[in-house]
Amino acid sequence: MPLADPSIADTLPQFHLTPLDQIPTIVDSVRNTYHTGRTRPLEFRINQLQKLYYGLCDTESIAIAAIAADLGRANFETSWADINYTKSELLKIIKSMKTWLADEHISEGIPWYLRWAHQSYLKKDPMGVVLIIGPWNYPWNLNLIPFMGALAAGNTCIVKPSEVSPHSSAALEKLFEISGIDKECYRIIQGGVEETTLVLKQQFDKICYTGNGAVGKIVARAAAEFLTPVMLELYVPPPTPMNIQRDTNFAPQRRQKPHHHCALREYRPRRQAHRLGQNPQLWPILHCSRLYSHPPLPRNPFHH
Amino acid sequence: MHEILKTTSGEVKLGGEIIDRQDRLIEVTLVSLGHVSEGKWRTDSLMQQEIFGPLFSYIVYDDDNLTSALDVVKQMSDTSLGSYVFAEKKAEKDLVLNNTRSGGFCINEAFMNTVIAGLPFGGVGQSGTGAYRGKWSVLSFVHQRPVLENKGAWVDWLLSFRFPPYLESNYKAIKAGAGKPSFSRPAGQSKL
Repeated sequence: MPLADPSIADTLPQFHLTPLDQIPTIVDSVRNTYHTGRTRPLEFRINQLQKLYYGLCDTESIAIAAIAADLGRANFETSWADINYTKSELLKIIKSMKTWLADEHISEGIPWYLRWAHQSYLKKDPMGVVLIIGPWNYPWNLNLIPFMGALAAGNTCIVKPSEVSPHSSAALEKLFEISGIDKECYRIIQGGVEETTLVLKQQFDKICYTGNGAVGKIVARAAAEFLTPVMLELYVPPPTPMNIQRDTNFAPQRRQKPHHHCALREYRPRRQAHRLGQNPQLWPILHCSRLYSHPPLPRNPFHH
Repeated sequence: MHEILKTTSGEVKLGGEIIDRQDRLIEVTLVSLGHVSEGKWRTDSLMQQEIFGPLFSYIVYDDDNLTSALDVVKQMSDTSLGSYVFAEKKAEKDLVLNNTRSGGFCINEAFMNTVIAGLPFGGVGQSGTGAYRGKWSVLSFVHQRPVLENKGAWVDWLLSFRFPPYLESNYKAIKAGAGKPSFSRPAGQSKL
């Protein structure tokens, strides 16, 4: 059965617009929560992401039905591109976020004889309140992956899913509710043009918009009012030059297996060196001895 | 999508039927926009807007004239979100890769660059700014805040050339700090 049973649409969560007068209050409360510092500890963020993971598992059937009701997409495609892909990203984030968010030691620009006394590093600070405006074509994937990134980075977050796919957007709200992630930190605002316009009149610290160029310009203009940085993912059709010869196999590269073992053997010692460098207490030793440098990028394993 | 199909100047080669409006089903549809030199692609409805459906348009180019195809690419979607090339010869792959720009790029593959968590997904120019997925999802929402800590009071003494009075020795210290070039003056540039 390629499509979900259309009758299930009646049992899906209902889409309700967020009342206009509540929008400024919601944004304010999320900003206030950010300033309390609740999202600063890594443990809190990991816990929230873990809740979100099991929420994703629990709402899987709702998501498949909702997306099928909105887009008429085959269940397999939803399961792959929206649900399981999002899950795999989430697991990866939970597993690696400590490494990604670790202080990055920088020694460039400090003379070697000063390095034990002058220490500099890049601290990965949350930006503040993030607004994510998602599209309708991959409601789970393109709303949740930026959201997970913003959550892991320690921001509080407002998600505005597309009103064009109302079932999916309502299901997304259900996901937030079921997973039990912190309501004061992470909120969903449902709405169309009018609501979004009002949301964009509020101040954010980063806005992520996925959609088309025309709306992208509106978002960027509204963001400029507060000097808010934007991440825009805008659809421009992909050109594909294709050389179709007599019996070309479209995937010649699949016949050339990369030498995995060679790449791994070469990479491991450098990764260990890098791990040593992540311990700030070792920096003085590492740098006075001048034995340590940042690990160079691995040689391209495919160039054999 | 129906509107796009109705107004296209191309020739439907495959499909073209809407199967079920209620269930939003449409046939896989292949539309020929003729040869590059015909120029139909400049104004055709298929080339003007986003298409979230199984409508494919193609433009034929001569085997020995890949650059004519690249001209279409540059004019119609110069900075697209992704672009893909299907070719066997390295020269052709390189020609396309080095003479176009786009958010992401696939060789003998389509779209899959966006599902690899180790690769950032994002656009350039008209297709946007910033990227996420995997590590970049987190780094995109982080402010990388530079922190410097001075742990020794004697460092202040060592770097005291920063402070007035600005004596000759202060100038010498900052001049020494700038370093020396490892290269000589490039040929053709005369000394002022």
